[in-house]
Amino acid sequence: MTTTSTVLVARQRLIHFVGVASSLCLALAIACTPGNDSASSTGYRGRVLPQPREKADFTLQDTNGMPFNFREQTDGYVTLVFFGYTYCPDVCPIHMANIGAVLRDFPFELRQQYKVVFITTDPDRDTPDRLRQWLDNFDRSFIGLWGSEDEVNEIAVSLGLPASVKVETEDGGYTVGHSASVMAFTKDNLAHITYPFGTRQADWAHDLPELATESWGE
Amino acid sequence: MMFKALISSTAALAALTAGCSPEPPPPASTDVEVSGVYISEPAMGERAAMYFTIVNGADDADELVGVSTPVAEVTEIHQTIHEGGTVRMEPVSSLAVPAGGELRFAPGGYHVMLLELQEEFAPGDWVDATLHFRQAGEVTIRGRVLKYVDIEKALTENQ
Repeated sequence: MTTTSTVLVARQRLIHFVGVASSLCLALAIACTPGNDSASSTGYRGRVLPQPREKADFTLQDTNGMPFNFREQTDGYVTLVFFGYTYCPDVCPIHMANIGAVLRDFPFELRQQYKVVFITTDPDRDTPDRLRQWLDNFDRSFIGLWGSEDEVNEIAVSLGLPASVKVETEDGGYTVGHSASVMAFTKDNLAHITYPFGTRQADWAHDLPELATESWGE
Repeated sequence: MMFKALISSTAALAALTAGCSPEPPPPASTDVEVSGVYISEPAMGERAAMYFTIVNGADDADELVGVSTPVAEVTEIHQTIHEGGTVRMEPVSSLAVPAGGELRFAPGGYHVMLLELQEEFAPGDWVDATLHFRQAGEVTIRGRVLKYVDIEKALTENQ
């Protein structure tokens, strides 16, 4: 999805000349076979990053209103991070539901090795309480973090992810653009892989246990 | 705002009246077929997304101009825009369905946002809706409410 503006232009042309079905299938086909170009050598189904990214050191508020230091409090865990918002129609809840369902099937000892962190990109509407209520739909252990728009954007950018964008809609509301990928940190506190939208439960079930024992050749 | 609210409640009322009418529905168009209908569970009980696939068997292009359902006072057709590694949704006023073509709504692509829900519904329930086409007129559909975890299965089945 990196050359998305080109994809969009191409897609609009396809809609006019070929038909929407083929273009949407094309878009979905890309989304549904994550990383098959880059991950083939590692066996992972996510997209392996060309350069691993360091776990950022930041503190935001959790859903209990307590400060949460990301680097310290996720140290030693496989940590999945996603930036999204609770009014998000499908990308955010489907990512969270898929991860929650797969983790639920893991044996207890394996399950303990993961932390899932959801950082809201919509601090005005997503109060910590609302965030908690929404996350509980997927897994009560998921960590919800809240901070100002600027703080959260700074964190996203420091992780190499795009900042979120707030787009006003005609009815006076707004919609939030956010990164579509889940970033996976391993126990070395580095993110080597991201998972785009379209990652299936089977992909998570395949990759997550391996990420728990991964030493990246060290 | 008041004007808008009036319009939307009138529309909802019309939809409700239509849904409860003892009259048989107008004959369905044979040119436009809608299948693979499903609705996401309303995660916060506030809003849900509806998906389907439209096949236009006619010789002429058609256009989806609106969607109504008794379960929501407001519906909006949204497109998910993927841009620079981000996703965001954007309302669209109508969508073309080319002659002999297909228009597929799916997570990460197009969806109908159901807002200001009027009825509670949960996974396993069925939801009725009417799609409004410029040429084919009204097409009534019915779809199952799915848990978010089951949506990827629906995607596979409808591919």
